[in-house]
Amino acid sequence: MKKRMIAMLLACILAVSTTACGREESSADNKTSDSPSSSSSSEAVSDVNDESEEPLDPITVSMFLVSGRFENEDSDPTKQYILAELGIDMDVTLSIDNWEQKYSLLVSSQNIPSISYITPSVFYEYAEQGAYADLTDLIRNYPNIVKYISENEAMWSRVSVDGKIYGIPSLNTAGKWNITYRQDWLENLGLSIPETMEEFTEVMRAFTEDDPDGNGVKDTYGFGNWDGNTLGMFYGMFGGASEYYHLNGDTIEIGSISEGYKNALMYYKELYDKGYVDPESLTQKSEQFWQKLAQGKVGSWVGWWSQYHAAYQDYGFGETQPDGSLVLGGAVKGPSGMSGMIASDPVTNVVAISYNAENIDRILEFIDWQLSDIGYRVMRYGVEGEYFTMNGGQLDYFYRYDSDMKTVSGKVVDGDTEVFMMFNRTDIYPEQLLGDTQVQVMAYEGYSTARDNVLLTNEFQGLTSEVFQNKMPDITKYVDEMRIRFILGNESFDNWDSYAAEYIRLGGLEVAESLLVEYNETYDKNATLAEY
Amino acid sequence: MKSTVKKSLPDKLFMAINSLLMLCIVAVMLYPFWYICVGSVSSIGHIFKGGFLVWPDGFSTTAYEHVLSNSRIPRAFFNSIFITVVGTLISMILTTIGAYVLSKPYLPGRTGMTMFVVITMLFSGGLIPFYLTVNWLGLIDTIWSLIIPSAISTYNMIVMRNFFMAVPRSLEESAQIDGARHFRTLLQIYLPLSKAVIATVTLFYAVGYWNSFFNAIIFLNKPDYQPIQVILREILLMSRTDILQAQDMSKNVPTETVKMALVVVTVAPIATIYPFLQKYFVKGVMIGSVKG
Amino acid sequence: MVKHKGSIFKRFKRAVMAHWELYLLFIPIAVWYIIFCYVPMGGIVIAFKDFKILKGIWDSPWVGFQNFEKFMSSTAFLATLKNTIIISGMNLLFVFPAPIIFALLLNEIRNPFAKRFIQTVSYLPHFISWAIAGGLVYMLLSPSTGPINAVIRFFGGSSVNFMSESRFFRWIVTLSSMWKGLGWGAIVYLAAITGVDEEMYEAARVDGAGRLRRIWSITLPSISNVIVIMLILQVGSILNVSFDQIFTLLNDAVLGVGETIEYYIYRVGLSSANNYSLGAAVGLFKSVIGFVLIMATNAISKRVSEGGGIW
Repeated sequence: MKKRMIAMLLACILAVSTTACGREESSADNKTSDSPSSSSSSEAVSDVNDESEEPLDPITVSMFLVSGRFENEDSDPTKQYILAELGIDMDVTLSIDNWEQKYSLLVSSQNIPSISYITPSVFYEYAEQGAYADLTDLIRNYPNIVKYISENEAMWSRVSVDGKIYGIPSLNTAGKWNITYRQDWLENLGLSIPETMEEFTEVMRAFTEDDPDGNGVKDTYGFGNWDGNTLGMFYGMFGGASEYYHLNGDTIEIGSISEGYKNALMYYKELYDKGYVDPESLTQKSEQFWQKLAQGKVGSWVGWWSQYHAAYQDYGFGETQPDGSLVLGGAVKGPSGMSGMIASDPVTNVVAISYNAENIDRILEFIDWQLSDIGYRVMRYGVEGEYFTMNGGQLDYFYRYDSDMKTVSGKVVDGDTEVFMMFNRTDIYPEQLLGDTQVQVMAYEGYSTARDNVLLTNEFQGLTSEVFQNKMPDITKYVDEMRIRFILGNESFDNWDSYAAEYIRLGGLEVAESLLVEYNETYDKNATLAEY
Repeated sequence: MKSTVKKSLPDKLFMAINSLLMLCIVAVMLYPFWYICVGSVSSIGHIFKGGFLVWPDGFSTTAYEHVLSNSRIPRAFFNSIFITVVGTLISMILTTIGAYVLSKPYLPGRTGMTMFVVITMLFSGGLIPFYLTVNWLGLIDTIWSLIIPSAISTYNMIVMRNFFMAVPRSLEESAQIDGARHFRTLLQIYLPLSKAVIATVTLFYAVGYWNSFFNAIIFLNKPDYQPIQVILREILLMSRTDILQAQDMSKNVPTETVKMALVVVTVAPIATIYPFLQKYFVKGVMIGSVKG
Repeated sequence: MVKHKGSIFKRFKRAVMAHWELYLLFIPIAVWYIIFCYVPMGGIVIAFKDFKILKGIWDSPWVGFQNFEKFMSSTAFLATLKNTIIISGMNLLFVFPAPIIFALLLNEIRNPFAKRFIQTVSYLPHFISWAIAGGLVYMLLSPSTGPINAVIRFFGGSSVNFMSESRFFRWIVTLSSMWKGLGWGAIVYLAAITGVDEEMYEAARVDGAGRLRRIWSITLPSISNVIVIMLILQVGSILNVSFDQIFTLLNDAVLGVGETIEYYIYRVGLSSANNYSLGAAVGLFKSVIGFVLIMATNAISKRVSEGGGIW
């Protein structure tokens, strides 16, 4: 009893003191902040502030970001800068571990953060329930935001409910996957990077049977992977991916039961049965895969673009395979000339403003600034003049690729400046990858190759319906289980029709139909489903 | 006290087999940990070579530097120590008192009271009501939210209650005749005789607080009071490829060695405390036999 | 009737007066339980509602047993229920007795330093989180680089990919649980064993009883009430299989046999905001089953030994 009284008393004192503290702090900082690059910063302010030259009243904005980062001494200057120039005191909560539950608790206690930076599916759940502010009419007033989205009007429909816009999509490129080969093995065997299916099969065979590392032992596989990692490139070769929906002329096909998907599995099984694929690929975790790569047992893999340079930077490839080298390939073409890497969702996250936020106009100004050239750079690199410099629109210096991780002024960077980032500018992003270090070169190569790859897209990307939410998890489980069974030979491809029938029985057709309705509504189209 | 009866053959056989079994168990328990220790000071290449690791290939502390250089670590360490010490203290006081009361078979309503606490082990309203309650009490973003809402573990209390029940009634009666009140009886009679269970439950609570992270995740919005497990978990989470892809982080990817260093950093404090508690695992009851 | 009522009142008053100290001591504990357990327990109603997080608990619409019907009619749920019960059952059968046996055997080690060393080493696995322990299991069982398969190959067999075969998965879960929990679980029993009277051992020794006999007739019965309590508590949580463990060890090839209720909740997103009521319904379902089992086990243990049981 006593403890509770004390707790409540403490709580009261705490509550009172923080509000008082907050107000004092922000006004003091407003006067004493001394960002060294005052000239460029005032330019930014004038971008935002039009004619007014008076300092803006500081407001505290609570923010919730799904992120594994944390505030540190190198993100503080950015925070101070934003406070000084825009009058925004960012009250940030960064969460990744169990973040969905944490977010749901904040909402349930009526503490929806003023700005939420969350995944599209979670955003949609809450948007449906009215957690966010209607931005439909306000958005058009902010030029940078409009410009950011203008290339893809369709993106707005991803963040709308019943025609009203409730969030701002945080976009990224859809091409994120690459295939990587052991370059030294290709060279040793006199092979070139495969482009067609026949060439690919031959490379796989050679990697497995022709002793590419020249050690006299048959201990290599052509292709490796880990569980749950998409057979993305193979789907692209035949035009059918599980859980995707494909536009075929005028009609939409269900990927999971399509001919293309079946053929992709059959081809993979062919490689698997011949021993060209590491049999543990289907069940091992990524750690085991990296180990095999480091041991020189794997000749190629399909992975995220950053894994190309990560193999060196994080997984010790350079150490364990000093004579080895890697090279990127393009999506291999299937028998009909089709090819493609699995497309990722271009909407990686959504930024939403709570329905009861104060100063929505100031918040939108802040977001608009983040999408401007200078805003993007400050949010990503840190304060200009300290952490990066520009030279007439070109990135001249950025601490991250300074081998000693030093700022312009020579201070050693310990932390991370990207802590508060919510938007990516895909047109500006590559500038930070240009450079001379091996990692930079590989990073740029990986990024641009993936971005420019032919893509296999999901027509119903990001769409959801009640039927989808109810039935899809069990359908997905069935599809995942059956995929393994087909590949391992536990289920014959002759029974494909009964697999498809079961898929439909579990509700697969219902789901597709409900999503089709959403699709037509959202994009104002008139598509139909294929016959099932 | 030396035994005067000679050891028989079956006994010798039993002891031999037992020792062998223990040796196997030690090997099975110790080797993975040894592997992790060795791995944490090796290079990635050495670990990835596969096979049994017996010795590092050159001592390197980069993994530990990576883990401990995280600027939040010192503060987190302090938080964890505070939470563990204060939390264990509060928990032990409440649990011991509760266990003592519930151990009295003559107490009217005891069955109901026991059901009252055991039901809570089974039924729960879920996360949201729990959070709302803590929120209503104003404990959000305070260090007390990591201690008070989880102060009592019914499981621990039942274990302790049962040990208390084994203390002979005669001791209690003689204390009462001497005019002692319950509180003094508890302190002067029960506690000294229950060193083993006190040590056990203290260990359980201490480890529980030291390893806790979930309450910290949900109740803390600011990093000021984060305990060390939250940070270690975040570091570990960044090694999951699917999370990395979404985060697009090009720095701070924990490698295998770092993951191993994490384990060592987590276990080391507990492994050092336990030997101190072990000496309390001594005979508690000297008089009379212990019945079920 | 009036006499009976007055008698109850009087008895109540007498009880409180006689043991007022005990009741007083218990008050802070009771208050804690009320605030942190029983007040939140009111949230169980969510299982009967269509919970909309923004509306809050009270304003969300009532739907009766609809949530229960939804998940109980799902064949996937029944499959995961079966998996959970089987894995828990194996836990009870194999993992539960192991620490007991270990404690009994460890107690027979004479050398005090060896005893301490063995005990300390035995609980180290408890501190290795499943995220890492899972990796160790993969390494151990790897068909290409794992020691177990190396031994198999040595004897002329061919490698087995244990992790991908349904028939092995539950055993892998059970054995890894045993490895991880042996030492830590034994702590309680070791503490109980310290309470056994030395004199009884002496008497038995004089009577010519060997070690095994002594363990069976003296040590084991003496800690039997602790064992029974632990058993009852374990049975009560039969539908709780460690999520972290399953999450790390499970892969697509063995989904059918390894997916537990917790994993199902995670995979299907029952803990997400939209499905909170479904998740609550599953939780309530688990609680009721656990409660029934505890009552049953408790009743049985009471019948078997007097003074046994939790209450």
